[in-house]
Amino acid sequence: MTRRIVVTGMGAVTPHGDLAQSVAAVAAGRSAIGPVRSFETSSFTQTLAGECLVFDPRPWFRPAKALKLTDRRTRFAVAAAAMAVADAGLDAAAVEPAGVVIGTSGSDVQTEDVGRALGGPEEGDARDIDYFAGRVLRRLNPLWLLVNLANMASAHVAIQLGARGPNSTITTDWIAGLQAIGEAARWIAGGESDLVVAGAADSGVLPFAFASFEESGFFEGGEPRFVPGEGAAAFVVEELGHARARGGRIIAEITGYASAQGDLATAARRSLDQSGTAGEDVDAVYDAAVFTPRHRHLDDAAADALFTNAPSRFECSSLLGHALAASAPVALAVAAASRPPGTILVNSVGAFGQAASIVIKGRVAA
Amino acid sequence: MKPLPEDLEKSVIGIVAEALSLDPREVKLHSSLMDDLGAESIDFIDIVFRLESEYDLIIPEQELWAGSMDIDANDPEAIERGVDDLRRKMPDFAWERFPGPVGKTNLPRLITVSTIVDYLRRRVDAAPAGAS
Repeated sequence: MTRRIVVTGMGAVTPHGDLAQSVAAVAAGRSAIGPVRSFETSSFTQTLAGECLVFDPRPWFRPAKALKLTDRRTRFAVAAAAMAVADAGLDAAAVEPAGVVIGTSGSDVQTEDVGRALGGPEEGDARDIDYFAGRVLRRLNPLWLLVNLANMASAHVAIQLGARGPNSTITTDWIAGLQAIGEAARWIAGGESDLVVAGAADSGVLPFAFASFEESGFFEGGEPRFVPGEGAAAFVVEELGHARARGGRIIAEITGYASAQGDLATAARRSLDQSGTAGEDVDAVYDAAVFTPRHRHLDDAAADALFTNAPSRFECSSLLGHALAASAPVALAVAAASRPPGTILVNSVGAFGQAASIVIKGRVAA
Repeated sequence: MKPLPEDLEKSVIGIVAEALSLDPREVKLHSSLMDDLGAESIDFIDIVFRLESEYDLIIPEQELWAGSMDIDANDPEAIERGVDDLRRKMPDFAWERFPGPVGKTNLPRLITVSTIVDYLRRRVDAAPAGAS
């Protein structure tokens, strides 16, 4: 018997606030993009971002010292996950066996680069391991590594929730968020878990990220120029019978998920086929996040290939900024919260052509 | 090693409070870092790093408490003798929380803020004048 997969709780952190605030702001077409406040941007081509300025991580961490082991994306992830679990009405006992899977573009601060950047002007610093170990590493708090590991977001979500089921992290660049939700669906379909907290958290509003975008040409080109964002979205993903047995509120059913390299149309087609959904039955398409001239054509090509009609197309990143791996999950949460019932296709494309799609249905058949 | 600040107690309390996200008023000289302030093994790594950075010295692993208590952690009898001594020196410590015989794994629980202060003073006393 096929195990059906539903969403029973959602939470988000965006520059507009929580999920309800974000849905209202997006519906009103209100932009959260403004000049970056948290660091100096005068040396960058781009000076705007969608920044989570009012976010306070402290209420979400116990004990308070747990915060020192976290970076910005982990803080977003923990907050969004706690909101999703509360939204689903789960108590600690119900969360205990839950799995956790979080997507993030990852934080790989190369030590050699740190060494070169910090090591001073002397010739050969970067290759001199004695100098590097003695001068640079000595000045780094040993906890630095623990803060920067890519899997810290899913680890801290599990620690704070007390979730002891399967735990994983997906770091496929910007599509990692949809892949995390797809992975959760497959854990449930395969019987590994009945309940998974899945989502994504990321930040592109950091000096290192801005430098990377600048160097790799993301800020070049015509308007609209790429606007980095940050935030998180998390979902309680649950087996339908499990959700019904505990009297959970069913928000939507996940009926299709696929990913592909270099071709969004393929990912979207596969996810629609899996869902048994014809192109003309799609009510809305959320093009999560491809908001650079360089990538826009991928969305357009996929739409041309899939639809004979013209379903409504939405995207959130022009209002929120591009929250990297969290961008598509935020769009999914906004879509599920603001447009039920209906059939929604959410697409995500990574900076190097990775593509993922998810289909959700707001009408959940018996 | 730099000269220690005049109010070393206050300085160490500040470092411990910062590392453990506590209000400095909650941190007393006789507070056990683990039992009273909630420190875990990872926090000791952090606190040692902060002490090393603040006072410009290197603290070899385990020296923080062993150097201060004169206990050989690998000798159960030495631990027993040392703990008897500590019971007299540390009347504020909540000894009733300890199991019968104190073992090697219990020793970090004996670290109080005073242990750190005493250790730093020992280090200054041991350092040759002018050496760092």
